[in-house]
Amino acid sequence: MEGFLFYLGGAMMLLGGVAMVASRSAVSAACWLVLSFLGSAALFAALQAPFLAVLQILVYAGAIMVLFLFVIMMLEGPVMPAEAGRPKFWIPAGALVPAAIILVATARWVPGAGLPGFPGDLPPGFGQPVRVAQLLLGEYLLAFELISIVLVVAIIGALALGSNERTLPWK
Amino acid sequence: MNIIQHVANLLIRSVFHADPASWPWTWLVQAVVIGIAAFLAFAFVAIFAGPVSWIERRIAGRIQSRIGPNRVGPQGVLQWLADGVKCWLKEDLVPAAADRPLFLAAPYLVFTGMFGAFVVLPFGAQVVAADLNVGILYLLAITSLVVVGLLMAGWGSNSKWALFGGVRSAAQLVSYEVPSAFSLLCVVLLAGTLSTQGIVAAQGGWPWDWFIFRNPFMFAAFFLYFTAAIAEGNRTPFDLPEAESEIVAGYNIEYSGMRFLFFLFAEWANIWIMAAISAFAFLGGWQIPGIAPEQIAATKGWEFVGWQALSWTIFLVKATFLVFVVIQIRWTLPRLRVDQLMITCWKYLVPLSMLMVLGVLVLLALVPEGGGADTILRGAMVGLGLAVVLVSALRVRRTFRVDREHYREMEGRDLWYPPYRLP
Amino acid sequence: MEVGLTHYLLLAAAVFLVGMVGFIVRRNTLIMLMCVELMLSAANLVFVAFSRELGDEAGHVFVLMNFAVAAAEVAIGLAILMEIFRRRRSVDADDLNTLME
Repeated sequence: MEGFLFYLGGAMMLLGGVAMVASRSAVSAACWLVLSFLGSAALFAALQAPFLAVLQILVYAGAIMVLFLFVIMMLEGPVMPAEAGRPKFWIPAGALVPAAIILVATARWVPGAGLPGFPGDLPPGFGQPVRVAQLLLGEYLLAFELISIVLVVAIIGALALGSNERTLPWK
Repeated sequence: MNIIQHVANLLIRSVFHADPASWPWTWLVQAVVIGIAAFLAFAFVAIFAGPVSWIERRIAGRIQSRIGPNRVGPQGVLQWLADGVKCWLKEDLVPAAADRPLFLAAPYLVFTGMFGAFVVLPFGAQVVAADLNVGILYLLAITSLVVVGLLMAGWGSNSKWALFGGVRSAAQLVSYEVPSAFSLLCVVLLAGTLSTQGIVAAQGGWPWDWFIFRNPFMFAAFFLYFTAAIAEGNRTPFDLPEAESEIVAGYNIEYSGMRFLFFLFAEWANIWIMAAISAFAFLGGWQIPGIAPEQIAATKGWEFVGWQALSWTIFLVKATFLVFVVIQIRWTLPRLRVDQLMITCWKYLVPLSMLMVLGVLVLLALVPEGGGADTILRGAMVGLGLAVVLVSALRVRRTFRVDREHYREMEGRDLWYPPYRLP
Repeated sequence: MEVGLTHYLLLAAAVFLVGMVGFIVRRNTLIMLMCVELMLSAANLVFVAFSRELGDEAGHVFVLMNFAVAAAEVAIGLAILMEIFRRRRSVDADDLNTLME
């Protein structure tokens, strides 16, 4: 089951990524990236991290990509002249070649012969929300609080950048 | 042991007179039962959407003083079948300038996002496809996939109205996800688990054990969730994405035939899902008054199946009632403007829902469960709930009475009374 | 079909490379931002894989932090893009060459 999820999710992630790089219109690039993130969620599920798998869909596919699509549609209008008139064929090729080199260079090991699997003994409840939350609000509390500052700064920055300049209070 | 294995074992024992543990075909019977269950879950929305769409149109007709569909079958009950067949037979149009792959894929993505939610809905005591430990988060995540599908549909159609509809619906869904998630966070705080079955198990069968009547903040959180969920489902008064008077039909304007039907199914599935979430998170879900879940789990044989069916029925009744509330709201309230929509969310619902989370936390710390203060609080909230129901019932009754008097004045005879006038 | 840490590291490296190459060859700033997201996602995968290998959820916490950073990055990046588009009517990275002279 884990092996199946790995190959399925890995294929989705890689294919989505390559197609994203190769696609000409930003909208289809975003849709391919959604596929890639779904594959990554499947990989998280295979790695016994259900909480992260769900958050990956919620944050990336549900929020970040929607923001992307939203901005794309606001910026470019119904006509998308993205990189028209440039040579197109080398874009997918350029994206594929390094990936292919890596896979070929390591093909000796990829089928799994002789490579160790994951250790079978995990602590009970590994990756469940409770355990992650205990770490997050215990050992890593400082980082958790600091990340909230990052988010607040991002909100303020986005508002300041996005709003009409004349309406800003300091102008 | 879940209900599917249970039914399979019962069938093997009673029909084939074999021992399920050693019989070689146990897996086959289980597979067939699982297949039937999956088909029922899959067909559930289709079967549910049809009659309810007819009922909605009849109610709409009644509210708008017209008749509504009444030609196909007695009183038009078969209208939904006729509509379905019509959509099957229609040509599957793809606009010439459309972004073809996106246009074709969008309805299925929307559909998948909606149907993925059915995996964790707790239909009965043991009737749930997968009791995930992250159930509520999974619900939020899988339904947020729908936004991507709507944006794809809006973009792929290459039509101004569709694009407007898609962008509007994306803005709306992303915004209203915040208050709905916060309201569900209140539930998670009280239940101490994200699992949907765990949330139901943390409540009880009687109204005073439900989360909605636990304290005033939960009471408010229920209405906040319901409002936000209606907005997420693109229903009136928040149906800006498909506002007919402004942008014709929104993101699905270029679709025809089955693809259009998929969007409609997704909309109905969404209504059902939001009603089901409200029912299991706030209204006690499938809990049967007077019998604990452990007692149900301890029963054997057909008695077990009977209790399951009863819990299922209770859940269905609660959820269907909420679906009707949604329908009534749709035909009662006028549509908001876009700026009003955003103001409602960000200036009122989001701060209010944060306040509810804070209040629930404070009460969780101050009022121990099962103590005297807790009992008083629950009693007061049940009283408040009864008062709300009573006042709205009286209000509806007054409307009907006035309506009947007007009718008698104008027509000189009595209105065909309760409550939906038949022509 | 036993899958171990090495498989995940290889996959993450490949995905990271795809993102990196995309960031270099594409000139549409929107897609360049998406490539950054893909690279972040590959890094997340490595964190979770090591977490699974060591039986320790610290990696999950790092990934959660990464989610927040990614969200903040996208919000700011897209806001900057909107501002650039408002001034120059283009999101092509080659057009943003005012500082070159």
